[in-house]
Amino acid sequence: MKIFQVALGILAAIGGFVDIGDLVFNSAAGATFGYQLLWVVVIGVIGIIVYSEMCGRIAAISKKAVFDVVRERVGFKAGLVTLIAAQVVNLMTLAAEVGGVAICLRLLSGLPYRWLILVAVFGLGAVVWITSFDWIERIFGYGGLCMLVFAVAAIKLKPDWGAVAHGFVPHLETKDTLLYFYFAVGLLGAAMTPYEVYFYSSGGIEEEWTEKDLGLNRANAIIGYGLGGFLSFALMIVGGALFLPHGIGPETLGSISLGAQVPLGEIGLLLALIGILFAVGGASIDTLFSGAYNFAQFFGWEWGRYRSPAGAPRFTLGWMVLLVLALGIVMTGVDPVQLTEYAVIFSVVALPLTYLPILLVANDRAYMGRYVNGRLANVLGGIYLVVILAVSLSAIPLMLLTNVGQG
Amino acid sequence: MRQALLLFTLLAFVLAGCNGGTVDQHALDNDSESIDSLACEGALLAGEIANTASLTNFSRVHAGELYTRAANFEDALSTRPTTPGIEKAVRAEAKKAGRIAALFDQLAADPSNPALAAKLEPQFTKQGGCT
Amino acid sequence: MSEELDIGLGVVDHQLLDSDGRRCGNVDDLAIEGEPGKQAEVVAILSGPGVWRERAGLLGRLAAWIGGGRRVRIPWDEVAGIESHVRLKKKATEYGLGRGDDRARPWIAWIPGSHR
Repeated sequence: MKIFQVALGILAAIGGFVDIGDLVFNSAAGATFGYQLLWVVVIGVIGIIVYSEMCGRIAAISKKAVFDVVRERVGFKAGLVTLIAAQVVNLMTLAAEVGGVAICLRLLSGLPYRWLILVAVFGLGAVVWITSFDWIERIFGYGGLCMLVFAVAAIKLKPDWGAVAHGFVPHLETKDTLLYFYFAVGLLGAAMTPYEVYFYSSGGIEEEWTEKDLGLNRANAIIGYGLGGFLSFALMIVGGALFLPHGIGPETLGSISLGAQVPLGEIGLLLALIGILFAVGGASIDTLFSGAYNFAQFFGWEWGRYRSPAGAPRFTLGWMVLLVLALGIVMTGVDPVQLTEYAVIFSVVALPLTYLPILLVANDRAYMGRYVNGRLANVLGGIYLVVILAVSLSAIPLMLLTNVGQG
Repeated sequence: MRQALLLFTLLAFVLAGCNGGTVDQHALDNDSESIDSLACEGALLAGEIANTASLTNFSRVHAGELYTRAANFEDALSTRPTTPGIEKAVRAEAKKAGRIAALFDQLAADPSNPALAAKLEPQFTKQGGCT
Repeated sequence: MSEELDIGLGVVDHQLLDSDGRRCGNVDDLAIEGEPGKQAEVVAILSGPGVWRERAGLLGRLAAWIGGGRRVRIPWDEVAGIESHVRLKKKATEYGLGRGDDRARPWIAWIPGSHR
């Protein structure tokens, strides 16, 4: 049944919500503030669902992906600045995710890190080359669902469910206000990372959505990102129920895996490592494709996995070059988690200039005909644009004031 | 406008990245927390190995990673200059980090030995003051 | 076309599609002819890296240099239709468009599986 074809939404969400940076960030949020930040994840999930549904609708009706729309609405000059910022974020994040894949493989196999980076890069390249977009979605999207082991772990850890419920209500119970806001802003920024919509909207075109698929678009947005948010909850609850009482601040993928190992033993550990592998692999796919999509869409090249590599040569060369550059970056030995933290600086520019054009075009009858935004989409879209602007403006000051979350 | 953004970004990198070389009380508190965190994580990991609920490769690699972090703290806190009055405390933390690193070293060398892990677990707990 | 067309929002920076539906560049600029006070009309679409120079200052000149600096001029009467894309009457190669992809293709086409 077509309604179950939600792999696109799941893959976009997994890449956005549980990439290597967010895995650590969500766990650390739980380990530092317990369940107090759960409500922030809810706000982020609603925001990305609203905007993804819009992008998916734009893709289905006007056959345009986000970066087509960015250039058309903000013009060549501002569009070029947005492109550069977005691509820096994409490349830094891609490098971090590739590093994350290598770390996961090392935790599973014990083999040397540098060799595994090569395995990760060639493995990703091979999967993208050989498999169709449909199968790429399914492999990484559904494979990433192994991450649900963290939901089971969260339950098994028997958290104080009253406190968990209280965490869904916005409140502030800490003296560490600055650090609290650093995490809040970080969680919101992570929920609405631009490459989620670059990937999702282009994926809608890869899937050749039409107006008949608007229901499918809604299902993908709601189920996919809903699941992503659910995984974030699970990680934060594990953080609050296990790491916080033990005085542990998780900083690595290995530390996070302990969160499933302690309550569920060896099988929990194995599923966690596999889940993380596909989640981080999925994020690699998201950022790799987003990078190639953005260049092609901005400059008007032919693009899409659905065109075959020879049918879209510059697009294909684009993702190959990005993989090689990512390889180079990871080989320097930089810490992947730190890399994602610094990528945040560049998303400051990319965030507002990505989302504003989407809202504008979703209201434009010349593009959308009778499928323009209804009142709900516009109200929510407008509110979240303000939220995005606030996140954008406060991200760097909070990073500086909290010494990148070290306090 | 673009120049301002570029300058701001560079400034952000500089300020976020470097934290001077001198250890002050704030840095000592943060590092101490991190070192204790490593020990408590070691206790958890050792506990899992003791219960034969871990995978050998994972145990070895993760213990090795935590060893590196503890050893880095030991190096940094043994040699960096400190603000007046806290030098003794800083060097004591360095020694603690060294003891914790040694525990991880033992764990990583024999990662599928439940008896060893059971012996190390309380030592980790004691070093980190874990609950 | 007898209806009004917003060339700023509806044409400039939009994707060009050839008669096969192939993406072949963007409308990077328009050539408009006329005299002050007299009727002005759009006579051509301009596309290609050479056009970016005028549109984005230093960054544009850098991008134009990286892109190779070519510019292609497509007479306005070659436009078949304007929906969300700008459709042209003939194939891309007949206008000299999409050459970047044609030049890049040999780099990819030799690898097995490149046509799937």
